[in-house]
Amino acid sequence: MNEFPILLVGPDGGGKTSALRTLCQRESTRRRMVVVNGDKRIAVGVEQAALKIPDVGELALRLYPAGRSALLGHFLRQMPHAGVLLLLDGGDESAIEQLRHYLKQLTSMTEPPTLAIGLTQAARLSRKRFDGLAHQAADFGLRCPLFRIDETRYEDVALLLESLLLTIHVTMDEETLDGFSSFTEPLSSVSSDLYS
Amino acid sequence: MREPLSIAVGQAGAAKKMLRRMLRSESLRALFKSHDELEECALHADCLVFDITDPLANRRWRMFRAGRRMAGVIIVADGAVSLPPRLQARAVVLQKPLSPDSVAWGLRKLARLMNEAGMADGLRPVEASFSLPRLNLLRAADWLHGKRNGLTARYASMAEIGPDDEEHLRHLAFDPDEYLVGLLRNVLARDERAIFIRVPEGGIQLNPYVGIAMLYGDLLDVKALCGKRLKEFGSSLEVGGEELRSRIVPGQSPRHLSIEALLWLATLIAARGRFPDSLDIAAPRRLARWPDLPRLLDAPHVARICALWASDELNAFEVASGLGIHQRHVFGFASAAHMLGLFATGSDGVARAAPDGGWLARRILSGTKVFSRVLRGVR
Repeated sequence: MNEFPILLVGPDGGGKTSALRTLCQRESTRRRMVVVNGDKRIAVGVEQAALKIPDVGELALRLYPAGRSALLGHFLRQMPHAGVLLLLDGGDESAIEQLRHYLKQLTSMTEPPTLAIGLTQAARLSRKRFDGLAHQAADFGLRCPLFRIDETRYEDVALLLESLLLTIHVTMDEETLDGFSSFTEPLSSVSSDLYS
Repeated sequence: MREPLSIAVGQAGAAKKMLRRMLRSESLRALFKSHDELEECALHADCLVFDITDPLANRRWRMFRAGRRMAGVIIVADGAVSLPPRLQARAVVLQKPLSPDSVAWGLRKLARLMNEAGMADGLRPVEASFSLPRLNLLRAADWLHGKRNGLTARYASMAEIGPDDEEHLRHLAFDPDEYLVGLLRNVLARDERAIFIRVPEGGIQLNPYVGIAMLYGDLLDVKALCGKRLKEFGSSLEVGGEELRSRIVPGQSPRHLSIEALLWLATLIAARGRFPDSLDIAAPRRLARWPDLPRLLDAPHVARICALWASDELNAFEVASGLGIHQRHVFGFASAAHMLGLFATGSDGVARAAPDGGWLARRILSGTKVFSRVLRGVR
């Protein structure tokens, strides 16, 4: 693929769409991607936007629908992404269960993607719950960025994405990095059989 | 594979110069053909380079695309390029402006693609000092960082030291108890009720149970306060409970800050690129978790240090050399991370240390007391 994609995942109301709009004011496009699960081919509607970075190129940001979260592991195995931003409503009572659900999906992969977690609705997120969520991430063996963010505040979302890119920078090997073609290759109009 | 390697460059002046320099440095002989000769040599060249921002070269590229010729292609472009499927496995697109790094990366990638396709055994990878995707990740991260307000530190003129240089290491250690940060740490460790600290410029109210600090007075003054040694305050510094409230709470509304953010700020300012004497700076360690950066004052290279230190067990000197930054930035960060209990304490991989140091444990204990009291009441 001719892209360096970052996938935004999380439950409904987690702030994925707001975060995408905060980063890329430009219009996003919708694509249908087909995930093969056993004998079934399941269409997943993915929203995509490009973040134009001067002198570097474009960073593709894709928004994965909450309704297909059970397929997330399959999706990432079939369509590798450079990193994953997991966004959760930190003020939600079920935030811990939701985090566990997504982390199970992501860490079940042979090579789990590089991850950064943003806990939105920071004002409603108590310290106790924040600590509890950090414990959950530690339970899964993760030392990823875990920040309280305001998904509508550019500095917060940009810092989360910056931390994800830096984690990719230090953890991903050269071969895998090159496999993503990086920013020097702009999004091409080539369509592959992954898109239906 | 023929020798020398033939590279036809159609109207790609800058790319041609860079390629020539790069291949020469790799001792690869290459035939560079001018635009006029391109037609002829394109039939047998191993690699073709098209700068499609030039109209003539763009026409040649479109002719090449439509033809059946199978060679490696480097396309220099300004924007998106549509590649036919047969060329996807042997084409590399470089965006303008070109740099030696981008050209080296392009050649390296082309060599890999062609080797995978069994096309080239002579086009050796050209090593760039730093791979382009990696460099671009750093550029992108820098761009996203923008110009956040934070602490600035200029250590460039200060000498760097080695991990075995014990004498200099001793000079760079500081005692946190001489500063506000030490006072904060000590009062937080022994009390979970509201604590008041009266200082000449105002006061600080700490509420450890909820993890909130209230600052009365100007934050700039708090910064100055964090950098002063406690002995400079003399009798003007008082610590106490509720009885101090009336004396330090002026009419103005306080500024709220998490205790974590206050400790972070106080440590970074007190440390000034040094490290606490209780921290063995030369010992390898690893971050158990990232600090909650959006809620903390920004400091130079903090996100980079976190990314590297969370990925592996390293000492501060290795972190500094790995990132190519002055070691004082790493020492300052290590002080703040140590104060917040962010370093893994066990050797069991991911530390099971409480994410927020002792506060969580204290809250749990406090909860137990409340629970016991309720039970006693029931009995």
